[in-house]
Amino acid sequence: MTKSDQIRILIADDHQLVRDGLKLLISTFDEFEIVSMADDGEQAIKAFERWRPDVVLMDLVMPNIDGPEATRQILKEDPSAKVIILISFVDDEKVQSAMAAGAIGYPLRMPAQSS
Amino acid sequence: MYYYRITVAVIAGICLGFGMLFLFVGLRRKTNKRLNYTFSLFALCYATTLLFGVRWYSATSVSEFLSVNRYDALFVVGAFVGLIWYVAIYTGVRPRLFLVLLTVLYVITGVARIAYPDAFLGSINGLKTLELPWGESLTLLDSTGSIWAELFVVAQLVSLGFFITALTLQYIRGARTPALILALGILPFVAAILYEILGESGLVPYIPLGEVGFVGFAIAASLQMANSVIRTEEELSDYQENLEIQVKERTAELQVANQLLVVQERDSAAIEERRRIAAELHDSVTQTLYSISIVAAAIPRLLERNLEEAKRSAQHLRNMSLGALAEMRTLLYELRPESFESSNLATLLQQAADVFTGRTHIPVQLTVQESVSLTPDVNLAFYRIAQEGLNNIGKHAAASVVILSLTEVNEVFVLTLRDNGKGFNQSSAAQQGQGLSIMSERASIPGFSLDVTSATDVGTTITATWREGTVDDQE
Repeated sequence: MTKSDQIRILIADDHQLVRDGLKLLISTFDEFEIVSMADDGEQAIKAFERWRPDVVLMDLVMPNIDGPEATRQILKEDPSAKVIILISFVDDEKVQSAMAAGAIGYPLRMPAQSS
Repeated sequence: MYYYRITVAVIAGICLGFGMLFLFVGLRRKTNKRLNYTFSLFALCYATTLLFGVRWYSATSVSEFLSVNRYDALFVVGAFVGLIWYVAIYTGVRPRLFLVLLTVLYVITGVARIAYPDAFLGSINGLKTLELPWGESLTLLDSTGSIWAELFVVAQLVSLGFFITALTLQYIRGARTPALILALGILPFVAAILYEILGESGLVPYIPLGEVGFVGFAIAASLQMANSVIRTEEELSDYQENLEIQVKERTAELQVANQLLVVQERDSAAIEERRRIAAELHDSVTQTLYSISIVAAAIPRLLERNLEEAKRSAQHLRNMSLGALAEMRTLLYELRPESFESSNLATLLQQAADVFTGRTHIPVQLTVQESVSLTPDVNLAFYRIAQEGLNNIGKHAAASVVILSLTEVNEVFVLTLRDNGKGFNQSSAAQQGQGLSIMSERASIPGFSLDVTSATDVGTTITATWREGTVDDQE
């Protein structure tokens, strides 16, 4: 797999542990590449503008600018952007707000095993 | 016998009494003062003219008669002016311009009578005597009269018309009882004056009845005033009774409202507390567990690809789950403070270290002297200082080695937290930041002293010392 085939990912989460965990998990897949990690919504928007990732993994609750608002701004910048909401447990209201902002989906649980 | 003179004098006395009474009541009243003032003006002036009359009925010469009669004018004017204004205020019928003009008319006739008595009385033929049936004789003036005297009669007739109109209007407006009372009271007075006017013009035998007519009027006005005073008193006592009931009702309502408020406050405090704990849960335990699930998902794949990384990740899993446990206990302390008090300092410091390692994967070398047993207050201060210090290391230090120890020598307890991180420039206050100020706040209980030494790229050492005793013992 060449570098240009890889799916480029931006992670936005305000918790170091979660960022580290996601980095570790994604590093075990050759088809994914992490281009940047942001620890709040504001940084996520800046990183998106700079790196133009294929996918954004976006936390909901973050300081400064939260997930739904960052999603809205990223999609305003690039309507074809793909934002996936990261949730540790289902919080209906916030997920609805992020989906309304244009996120394409949310994984209910992280994949346990590669298929 | 001087029946007539005595009667007039008695009536004058009654007039004076009522006049004074109304005047003093008027001075103390809060409302309707003018009603009292006008009535007392009328009554006092009227009483005076009656007394003047008693004197001139006994005059033996024209000059004697005139000397008494002349200044009587002042009080006649006062009486009539008082009366028309009283009726106007009483009935609420107040054509201001009309009343002012009528007042001016009275004043003009009065002034004319005092200043130019000759012109007022016309040509004087002398004195004449009126014999009353019981043998009493009254001295009267025999004169032709004048335009001024007729003007005075006109003023009286106009006043009469005004009384009738005002009382009729009051009656029509619906205030029937007070209108009737005053009408009945004024009636004999009016009749007497009319009779006098007719008598003076020679149409009927002249008898001065005006004096007697006042009694009915005085009774009517007094009745009315007494009524209003009694009504006020009744209203007042009703009001007081109501007030007591209302105060009781309000007090009861207030108590209920207060209780509701207390309950609401307690509820909202509880809700606020729950919200805070939920937010803390979300920020700590939830994130750690979420991260555990992600790392656990990665391990099977790592086992195939990178065994070293897999081993390290398994170690991380252990750190994180211990951290989650410690975070959980920390939250439980907030829910049940008594569970904190039963924990010893070694357990507490281990817990703070677990939370730190769970989040940062940086191991903490912890040593606590076995014998240490302190009060919950001191435990809490040491625990908070360690917690805040570890927080700061996690956020800023980028350290790889962290050493936490608690030692006791001669009753002096020393907590030392050392890292090999970036450190900071101690001369730059800004760099010390919020974390350090929170820490010194936590060390600000009696017996504590806090010392921080740091060097750039060497690391930071925090020393918290506590000894039993007063603040003066601090280093």
